[in-house]
Amino acid sequence: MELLLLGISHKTAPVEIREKYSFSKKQLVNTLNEFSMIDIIAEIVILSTCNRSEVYVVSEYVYETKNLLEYKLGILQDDLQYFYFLKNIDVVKHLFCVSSGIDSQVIGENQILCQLKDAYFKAKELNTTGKCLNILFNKAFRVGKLVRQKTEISKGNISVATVALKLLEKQYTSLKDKKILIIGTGKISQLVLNYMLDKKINGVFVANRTYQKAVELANMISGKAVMFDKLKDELKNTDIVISATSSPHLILKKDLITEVMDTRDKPLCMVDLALPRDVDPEVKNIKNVILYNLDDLNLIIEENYKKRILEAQKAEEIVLKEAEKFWQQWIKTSTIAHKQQELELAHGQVS
Amino acid sequence: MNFLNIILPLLYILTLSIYGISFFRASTLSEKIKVYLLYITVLIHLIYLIWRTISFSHPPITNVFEILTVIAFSLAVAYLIIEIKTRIRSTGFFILVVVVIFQILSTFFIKDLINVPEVLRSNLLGFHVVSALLGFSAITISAVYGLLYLMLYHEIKSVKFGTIYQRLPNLEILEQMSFTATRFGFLFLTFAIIIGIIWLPKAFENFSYTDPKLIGTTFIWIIYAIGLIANKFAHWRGKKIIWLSITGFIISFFSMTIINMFFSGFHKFY
Repeated sequence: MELLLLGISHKTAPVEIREKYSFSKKQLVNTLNEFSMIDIIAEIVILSTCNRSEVYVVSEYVYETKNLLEYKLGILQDDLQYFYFLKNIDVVKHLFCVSSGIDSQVIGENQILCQLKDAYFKAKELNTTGKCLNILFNKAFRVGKLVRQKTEISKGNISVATVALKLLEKQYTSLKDKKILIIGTGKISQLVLNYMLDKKINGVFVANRTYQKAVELANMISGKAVMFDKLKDELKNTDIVISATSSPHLILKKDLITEVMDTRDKPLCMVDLALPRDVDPEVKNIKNVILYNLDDLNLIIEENYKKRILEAQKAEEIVLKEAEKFWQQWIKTSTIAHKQQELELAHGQVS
Repeated sequence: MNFLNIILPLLYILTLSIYGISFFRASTLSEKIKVYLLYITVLIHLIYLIWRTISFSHPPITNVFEILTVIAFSLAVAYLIIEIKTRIRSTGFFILVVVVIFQILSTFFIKDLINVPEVLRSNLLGFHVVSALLGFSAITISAVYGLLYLMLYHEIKSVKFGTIYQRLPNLEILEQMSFTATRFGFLFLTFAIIIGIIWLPKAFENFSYTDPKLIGTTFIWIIYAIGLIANKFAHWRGKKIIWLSITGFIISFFSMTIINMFFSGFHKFY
C-alpha cells in the first residue's frame, strides 16, 4: 500500500486559486463518501482550511489514484501547477510539518492541530479511514504536541490585540481591578474585548461617536457605554485607554491629556491601535503617561515572529527525525504483514 | 576558620555571577543551580557568624564592619525567603550586588575585637542591634526593588523592550515588594529606636540627643513615617513612594557608614 497526498496550500497558490478547491462541510462529507465507494482508494482523509486543501489517501495504485483525484476534484489543467503530489515518507514529513504548525502561514499557530483533528475524526466517523491513516494521524497529533513542548514555536504573541494586552500586564498584575476605556467599536476593539472576555475582565467602558454602537459593544462584556463628549471626565479616573477608531484625525490631543493629568496623580497608560493615529504622539512626554502605538507593538510582534522562525528550524529537525523513525517502523510492520499475508495465502493453497 | 572571611566574598561573587548569567542570558543551567548555590553560600555564612560569635565571645555586632557582614547575611536570607515565597526568581542578581558590596567591605576592614566594652554585653543591646539590622536589611531590599521599579518604568516609558523589560516582574509587583519591605523596615526601625531610647541613657554616661547617628536614624524614621502616612491617607503610589524609599536608604547607608566612621559620638565603639 502506498501513502499518497494531493494538496494545495498558501505556499503554492494564491487565495483566488485556493478558494476554488476548498471544501464546505457538506462538500467534504459528500466527497469522502464518494471516494469511499471507489475500489482503488483504501483509506482517505480530507483536510480543508482557509490556507490549505489536502487529500490523504492510502492506495495500491499511485498514478490511477492521482488521476482519479485530479478528475474528481475538478482540477483545471492550468491549476495543476499549484498542486503538490507526495508519496510515502514525503507524506509523513509533510503531515508532521502541518501538525506542528511549521507549514502554517502564521508559524506555530495552534488552530491547525484542531483542524487536523476535525478532519481526521470526520473521516473516521464516515469509516473512510483504516489502520494506516489511523496510525499516521495519531502519530501526527503526538508529533504536533511534542514539537510545541520541546520548542517555543507557539510562544510569543503575534496579534496586535494580545500583544497590546500583554504590554499592559507588564504594568499591572491584574486588569480586573482597573478602569479600562476603549474608544472605537471597530474590528480591533472587538478583538481586544474578546480577549478581555476570555480573561474575565469586566470593568470596561466603551466610547464611540455613535453612542448606540458603544452600547452594543459594552453589552458584550457587561461593560458601560460612554458618551463621546464626556470623554474628558471619564479620562480623569481611567487607568488604561485603548483607542482604535477609524477617525482621520487625532482624538486625544496633548492639551486634553495634559489637562486630565493635572487633575490626577496616578499613571495613565494609553494604547493607540488606530491608523491614522488617535493619540497625539506628543502625549508620551507628559508626566505619568505611558503611550504605545502600532509601531511599538509591531516591534514586539516582529521580534516574537523572528523567534518562532528560529524555533521552526529546531521543530523541523524533530519532525524529520520522527518521520524517519515512523517510516522505518511503518516499512517493518508492512513487510511483516505482507509476509504473513503471503504465508496465509500459500497455506490456503496447500490445504 | 578565618579563611571563611576570605572565601565568603568569593562565594557571593560566584553566586552573583550565576544569578547574573541567569538574568542577562536566560541560561537554563544557571536558572536551575543558582538557588542551590545561594543556599550553600548562606549556610557557610551562618557557620562563619557562629564561629565568630564563639571565638570572640560576642555576636558580630560591635563594629560597623561586623555589622556589614551580618546585614549581608540577613539580606541574602531575606532574599531567599522572598524567592521561595513569591517564586519571583529574576530579582536576585540586584539584591546580591548589595550583598557582595557589603561582604567585601566587611572582609577587607573587619577587625578582631577581643576586648568588648562592658556596655556592649547587655541583652537590650542585642535586641536593639538585631532590630536595627533587620530594619536596615528591609530598607535595603525596599530600595533595590524601588530602583528596579524605576528602571522598568523608564524602559516602559521610553518603549524599550530589552532584558530589564523582559525579565523583571511587572511594575505593580515591584512596587508592592518595595512597599512591603518598607513597612517591615519601618517596624524594625521603630523597635530599634524604642529600645535605644530606653537603654541608651542608662548605658552611656555621655549619652546625648545630638549624637549624629541618633539624629540620622530619627530622620530616616521620619522619612519612612511620612511615606507610610502619605500612602495611607494621600494615596501616594508609584514613583513618589519609590523615591522616598530610595532616599531613605541613601540616608541610612550614609548614617551607618560615613557618620559611624567620621563623626564622633557615644554611638561609636572603636
